[in-house]
Amino acid sequence: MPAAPQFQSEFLKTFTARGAYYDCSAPADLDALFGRERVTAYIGFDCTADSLHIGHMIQLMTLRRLQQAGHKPILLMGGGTTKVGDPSGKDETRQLLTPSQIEDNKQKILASIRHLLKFGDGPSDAIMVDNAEWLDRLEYIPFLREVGRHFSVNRMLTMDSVKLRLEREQPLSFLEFNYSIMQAYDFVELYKRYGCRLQSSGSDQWGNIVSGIDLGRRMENAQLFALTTPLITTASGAKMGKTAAGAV
Amino acid sequence: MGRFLRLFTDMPEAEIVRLEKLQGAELNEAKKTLATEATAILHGREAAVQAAETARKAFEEGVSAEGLPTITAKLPDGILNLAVASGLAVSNSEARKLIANNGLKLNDAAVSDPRLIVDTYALNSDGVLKLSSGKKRHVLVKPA
Repeated sequence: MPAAPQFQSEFLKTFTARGAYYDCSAPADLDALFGRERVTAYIGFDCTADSLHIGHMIQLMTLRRLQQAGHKPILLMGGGTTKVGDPSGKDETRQLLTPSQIEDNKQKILASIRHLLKFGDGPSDAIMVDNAEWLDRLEYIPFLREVGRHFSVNRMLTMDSVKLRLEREQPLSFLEFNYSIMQAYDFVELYKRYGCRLQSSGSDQWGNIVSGIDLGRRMENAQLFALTTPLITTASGAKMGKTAAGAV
Repeated sequence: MGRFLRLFTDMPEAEIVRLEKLQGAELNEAKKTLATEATAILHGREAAVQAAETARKAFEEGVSAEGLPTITAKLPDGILNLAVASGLAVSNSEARKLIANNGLKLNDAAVSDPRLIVDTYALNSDGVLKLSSGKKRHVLVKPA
């Protein structure tokens, strides 16, 4: 884990003091941004299940602390990306969910977090956005020409999510191969629609977030940021899973 | 302990520093605080207080408490069937092993005989049975 920089801004100081800091793409620039203006930031959840686990809770607490410091959190629900399916950390293709299952999961997730954030129209009220809004309507050829040309397949083949499947000779469908492009595109779309500058997530999403930062620079000449949180482990340092024993 | 209090609650640093110094039985107080504070953020203060009270009753008083998972079953029934129906064991053979290890309790008393037939006489004053596996898993059985 990289050592946390000495931050000056209220949000990043709190974020670090609460043990949530893992890594940041440009710490000094992000710190200055937080000190200067109200920052719009997002985290994304796919709608693969109808409830969240402790790993999601860290991300939600990040949004909560953003809001407490007067910034604007966006909760991005992956109604569109869930139709594609994240290949990261999975040896097999995820089972495809139907649109009604996805919608049902989304509603249940939203209901479960309504106490955690204040949603509304105020300047630092949280908003919920569903990436199906833009992903569902993409046109193939224009998308390839405007977005696809910025992605290097050579580089995509080195991403963990892809590399592991290839090394193990497990099938990876073209559908899944597109997942990280969709996530990168989400970041740029949120920048265009809401001026969103920051994506926060668990440390395992670093590669996908950086793809979004690159795309933002190429398409919009914007400086976007990544801020990641550590993986939750037990007191002894092992990964905390639903089936692994371990005391807090 | 302090790590999780910092991550998952809004509690001030000074209070967290105090709680993370606790040792032994007092450490349970810190854990309860963590559970209640994190639950309050997710479900609201009222629900958190209610859940904390349910947990206190179930774990500390040893009485059956509102809010525990509940199933209904037709009595009389064999203890193995009830253990499986309540989800405390996945199969009769697992239920048998649980009993052999003194791990299955009926109204807080260990069950020793896998052939035990449970009838309505075993209902407690609330009119339910409390089945437990170990110290932490409890299910209430209501007569159908």
